[in-house]
Amino acid sequence: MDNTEKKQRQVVFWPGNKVVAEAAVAAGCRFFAGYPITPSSEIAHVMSKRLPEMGGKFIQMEDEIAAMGAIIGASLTGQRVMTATSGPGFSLKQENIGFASFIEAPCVIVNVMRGGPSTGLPTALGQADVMQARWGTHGDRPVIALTPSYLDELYNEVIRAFNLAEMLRMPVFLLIDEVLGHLSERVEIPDPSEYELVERPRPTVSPEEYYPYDSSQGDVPPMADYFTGYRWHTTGLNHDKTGFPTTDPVICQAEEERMERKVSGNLELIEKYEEYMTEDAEIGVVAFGTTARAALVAVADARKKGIKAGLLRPVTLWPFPEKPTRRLGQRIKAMIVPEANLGQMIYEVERVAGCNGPVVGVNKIGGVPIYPGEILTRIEEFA
Amino acid sequence: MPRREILICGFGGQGVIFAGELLGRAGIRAGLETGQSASYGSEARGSACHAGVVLSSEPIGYPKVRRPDVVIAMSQAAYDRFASTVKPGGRVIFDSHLVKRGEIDDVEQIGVPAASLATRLGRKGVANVVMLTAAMEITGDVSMDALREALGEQSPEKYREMNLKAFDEGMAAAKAALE
Repeated sequence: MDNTEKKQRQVVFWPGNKVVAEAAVAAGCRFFAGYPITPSSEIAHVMSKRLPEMGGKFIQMEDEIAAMGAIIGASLTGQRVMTATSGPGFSLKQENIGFASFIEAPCVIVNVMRGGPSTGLPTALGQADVMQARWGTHGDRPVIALTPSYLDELYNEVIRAFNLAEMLRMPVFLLIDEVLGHLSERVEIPDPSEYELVERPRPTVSPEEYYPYDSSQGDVPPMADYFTGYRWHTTGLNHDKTGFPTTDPVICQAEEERMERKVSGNLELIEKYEEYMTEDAEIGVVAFGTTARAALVAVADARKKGIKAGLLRPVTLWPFPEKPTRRLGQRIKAMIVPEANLGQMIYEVERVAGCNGPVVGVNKIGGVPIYPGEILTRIEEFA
Repeated sequence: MPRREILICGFGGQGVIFAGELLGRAGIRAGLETGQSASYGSEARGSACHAGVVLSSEPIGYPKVRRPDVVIAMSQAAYDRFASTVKPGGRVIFDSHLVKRGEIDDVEQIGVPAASLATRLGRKGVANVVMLTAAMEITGDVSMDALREALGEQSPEKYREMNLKAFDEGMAAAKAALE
């Protein structure tokens, strides 16, 4: 990027949750329904002010279930929509998340992860919703979850979340944690000319010829906005191209496989990761979110001590970055997986790394972030 | 400038978080990388709270304060909890009107009577600004011009003048404390 472009960028000092809200507005979000919950509440707070200013709508619903329902409804009318919550609310939303996946309604769901199961530690960080994001709702369905580590990156990933949701007609999760949500740092706001806002595919045929799940042109069927003359039916039952229920096993299989292909067939669009000093690494570290910031410091400190460590940081956590993990795993002595939970992403690393050496976690819960030194100690153990 | 960690602590309602944000903004204005985070208790007013600020000329990896170079303590409870976490060779700057200091090896301790100075200005609530200004004048962690500009920017209109008075008071208090 050259300097002339950089000059147009506004520099702000915002907390992560405000970054989420402002980036959502920049991404064209004009409908937010939510139920406030620590540590995500500031997102709803900012949206409640910004959306009316932009001609959009903010609704505080009676609970998280209703909030998820409301954004699905708004999405069907053609709006770019978002809700934000934390673990307990993410649990409540799961049934409707499955519904959104199956009717293929674009939406963005932010989960600012707190510590602990159940109500847990409302004001402290956790990273324990990794598997819930993947498997939290019943049945097979594709999942995208983005896990940025820095506030500049967060802004861009929010925009990317909306674009992916719209392009692929599916819910997209933004999984951040309390530390990132409440951290303020220098953020350069990209000029709108620096990014593209992608719309969902819309029908080119007349209402009479329209089928809502017509995949003859590709795996993402064109989606007509409600109340524009295109009448179509949504159901959580398995359905055919008309949108009405079917129990035909051939159609059921073909349709669910098509949905899965929206992700598996678009990996180059969805996958994003960063590698730091992995080329000659003998000890691999895989970490995401704010834990990856501690891991980066630990890897740099290890290098200063002459230990060849390298970091793989998934920015897209789901689908899991299998290829870079395998590439790293096959040439290192040990793989270290720090995460603020008792071991979740490590299952994916073990599954795909093909590592000859051990795959070991650094697991810390209780709301206190993992320190770089705790990761460094683990690296030194296996160096 | 190498990484510097500053912890501001007190009880809810003293403007600890405001002071943390202010220092963060000042850091940005001074051209530094800055990370600011705050602790939130389950209740707000009267409970212990602290704000951590990391300043560096390099990109900030780990964004939280671990071993502060400077602790700014605005209450006895905060002093008792955090003063001893300061790095060897670091500084503890405390409100001498509210805090009875203890002995800490290899740490420079400096008292600033911020609460009484703020009361004399007619607004107890600006003790945070007096305290932070004095502390930064003492440590030199951020340029005072940047801090003053950030204060003007962050202050709500009706408190701006009072806050800027508190800034001047903090500058004078630092000089007095160092004499």
